[in-house]
Amino acid sequence: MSGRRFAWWVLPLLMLGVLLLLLLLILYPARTQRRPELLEMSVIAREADGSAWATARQGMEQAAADLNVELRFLYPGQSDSAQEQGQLLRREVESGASAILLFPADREALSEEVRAASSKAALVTLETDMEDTAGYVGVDNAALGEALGRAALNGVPPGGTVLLVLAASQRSGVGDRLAAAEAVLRSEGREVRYFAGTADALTEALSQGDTQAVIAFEASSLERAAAAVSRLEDPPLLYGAGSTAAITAGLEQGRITSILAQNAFSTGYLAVESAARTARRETAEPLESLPFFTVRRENMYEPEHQKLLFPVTW
Amino acid sequence: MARLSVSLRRRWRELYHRSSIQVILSLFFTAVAVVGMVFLGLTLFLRFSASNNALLVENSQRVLSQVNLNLDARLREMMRVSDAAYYRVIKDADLAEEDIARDLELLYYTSRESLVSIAVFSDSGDLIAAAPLAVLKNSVSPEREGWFSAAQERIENLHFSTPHVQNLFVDPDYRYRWVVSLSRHVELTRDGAIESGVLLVDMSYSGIEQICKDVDLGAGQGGYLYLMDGAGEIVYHPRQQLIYAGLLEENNASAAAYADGSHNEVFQGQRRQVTVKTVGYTGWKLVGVVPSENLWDNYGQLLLFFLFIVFFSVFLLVLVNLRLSAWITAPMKKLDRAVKELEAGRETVDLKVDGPYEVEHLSRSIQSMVSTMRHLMDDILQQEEQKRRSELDVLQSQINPHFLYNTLDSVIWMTENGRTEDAVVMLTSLARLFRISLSRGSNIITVAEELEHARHYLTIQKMRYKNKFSADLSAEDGVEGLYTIKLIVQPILENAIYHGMDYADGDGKICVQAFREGEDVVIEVADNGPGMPEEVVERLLDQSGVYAAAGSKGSGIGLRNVHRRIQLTFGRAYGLSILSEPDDGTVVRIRLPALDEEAGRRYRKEGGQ
Repeated sequence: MSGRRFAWWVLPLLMLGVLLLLLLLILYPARTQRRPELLEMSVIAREADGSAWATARQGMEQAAADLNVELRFLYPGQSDSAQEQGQLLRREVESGASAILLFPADREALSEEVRAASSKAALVTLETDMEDTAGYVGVDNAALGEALGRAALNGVPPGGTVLLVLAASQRSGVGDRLAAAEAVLRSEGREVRYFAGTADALTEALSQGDTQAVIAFEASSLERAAAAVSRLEDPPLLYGAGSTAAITAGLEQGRITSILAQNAFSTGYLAVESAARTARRETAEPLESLPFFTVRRENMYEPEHQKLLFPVTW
Repeated sequence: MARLSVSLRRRWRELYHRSSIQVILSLFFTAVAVVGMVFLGLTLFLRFSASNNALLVENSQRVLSQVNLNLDARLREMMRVSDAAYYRVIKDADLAEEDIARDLELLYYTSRESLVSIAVFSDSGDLIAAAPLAVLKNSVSPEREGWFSAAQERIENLHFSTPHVQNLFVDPDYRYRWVVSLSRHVELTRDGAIESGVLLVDMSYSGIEQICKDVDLGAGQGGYLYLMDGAGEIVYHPRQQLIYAGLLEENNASAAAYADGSHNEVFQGQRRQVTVKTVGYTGWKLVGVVPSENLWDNYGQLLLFFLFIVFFSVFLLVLVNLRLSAWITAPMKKLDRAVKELEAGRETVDLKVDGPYEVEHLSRSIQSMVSTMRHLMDDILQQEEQKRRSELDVLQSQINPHFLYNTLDSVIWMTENGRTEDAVVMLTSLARLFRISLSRGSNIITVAEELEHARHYLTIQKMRYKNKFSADLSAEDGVEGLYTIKLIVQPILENAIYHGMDYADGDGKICVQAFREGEDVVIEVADNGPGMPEEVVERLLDQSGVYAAAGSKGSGIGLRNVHRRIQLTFGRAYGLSILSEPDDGTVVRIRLPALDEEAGRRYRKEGGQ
């Protein structure tokens, strides 16, 4: 065979073979590349103890497993310390975190740090919505506060007194709840008082008997309030937000009249998913406020409420 | 359509006729191999796909069977606990006299890994005994629970509930545990009287999870397994909490209607292969799910790999086919080349070709044919030579009768008139003339002999023509020793005499000169006769047509004979040329190659042959 004919026949085939091989090499890793690269995500809690949002953490871990995210949980030395949260936020941004979940303790105190962090990382807040972030995952706090206020109206006659348990930081989503509840109560002619302090102090405050209802706006406050009313012979009605084991026990024992609970597992899952999508620059539906449910002692063991209040743990 | 078919057929024919055997063989080999490979590959691929599907179904069923066995074992263990509690603790005990709580506690501790609680209730829902927790919550009414009513409604059966939160007993740690409850109707003895009751065994939900988790359905195919009750309520799902949270949906409602076996379904736009296995006694269903897309992903990879292999094989096949066809066609190509060389006129061509029988046979046939052809050609050449020789002989013999007749006639005439001396001279010249003519049979003589022959001829003719003309013969030095074919000057002299000197009146002159002109020898015969016009000159040497055929006197046959003899002997570069003008004489130039003795000898031999 002459060299020319060899070139005419074989070289195009050789080139096609090489092309096909390249095609194979390009396409072959597609399956392995389907799983996204590992994403490091920091979770900055509001409380020093994470037990109050253990279910949310389960959701976060499930999402982390699904989306190939490595979570790093960071707790401030002191609960509700915006200063410490700010420091943690700065440190995580400086260490190159791609995504951050934040339970803000104080919306105003953290605004600068959050704005700075948002420009460098996908920052999603939980519990408290903030401006300049990639998103907020949680309930509509004002609506939840209003619902708590309306729940208390049923047990408190006009002119009656409702004690609102103050959160450590009023400049957060918890403060929004309180403000909304207060507005409803006042508009309906109920007297509103505030309380901030320990369970013992609350017991003492309630022992005077001039309070018809107490409202706590987050889980730890509600647990304290439940502990306080349990010591009273004629406790006032207790309403609150949150769904820890102690709260469900209080609900079951009648110490808590009703609670407004959200699906904490969903909250955690969606927060990680939202931050991961933002960090990976994937398109996502805009987040909507999550629903919350009113649970009373009578219906707490209905199947849907069981699933809400008692996450399946192995 | 018909035109297209005709056009394609025409193009195919053109391509076929343009292509070499090697190309055609290569193309056909490759086409057949490719078609075969694609057919075989597709068959294997489809067969493999079908087998793989069957294997996956079989694998899913095998895994489900194994999980079913484990689950069945776990449920049977619970049933054994229930049986032990009933038949060993409750049935023989009189509740009025005995406290069975301790025995239940012992039983609980023997299976505490998989149990959450054991409890016995009266027909009205009062707690009789329980382990490990023994204080019933105030808010609880067991008789309103589903497991309680199920046990009372069908007293002969054991009843498994769907997972629910165990909320019966006061737990100081506020632990709410998910359990699957096994309840049954029991007969209680109190003061010798038999009354109804319900035995509850709460199985830890984690026991089911341990059995179902980490089940491998199709090696990384994204498959998973879930468990549901007969109504489609999920008992276990690896992403149960996501489903409970509403973030994920499962097709359990539809799957509840599936019979045991393998099914294909489309759920949320995803094709899935679903395998169902019913768990004995409980009516629960194990459902194995493998997304078909993942299977096809693998098939896609496989197909791509298959295509690569086919393409690579085709590439190799083309190479092999090219080499193979080259090997097969090599003898034919060699034969073709040899035949082409033959066509080009090459004498020695190797026609012997090694190859398959047919090609060797063809080679031998061509060899034989060429050999035969060559023999025939040699024969033809030989015949041509013989013909030429005989023609020469005839040409030469054409001279003799004319001249001999004329000379002898002159001798007779001279003898009759008493010119004996002249007759002797003429006869002597004639004798010399013939002696040179014969030349011992040789066709080649020296120029000197040729000139001597011409001189004797002129002597004779001058005597015949009563000295109407004079003649002068001369040769350049060295020319006389060269060789020429014989009897070439005499016919020209004859022509000069007949046509130029016939009317001369003693002033005719013929001049014969021999001299070298480069590599040639020129013998020039010039006369001062009347000459001739150009058209006569042209037809004198015309070898074709009517003049050549004419044999009459004055037709120039002698000149043409000489011209032809020279050209036959030495080639077309030699021969006669005539220069003549009316009233200006004629010059005939004989051009010959300058042959030395050796060359003359060679020509003599060839002439002899």
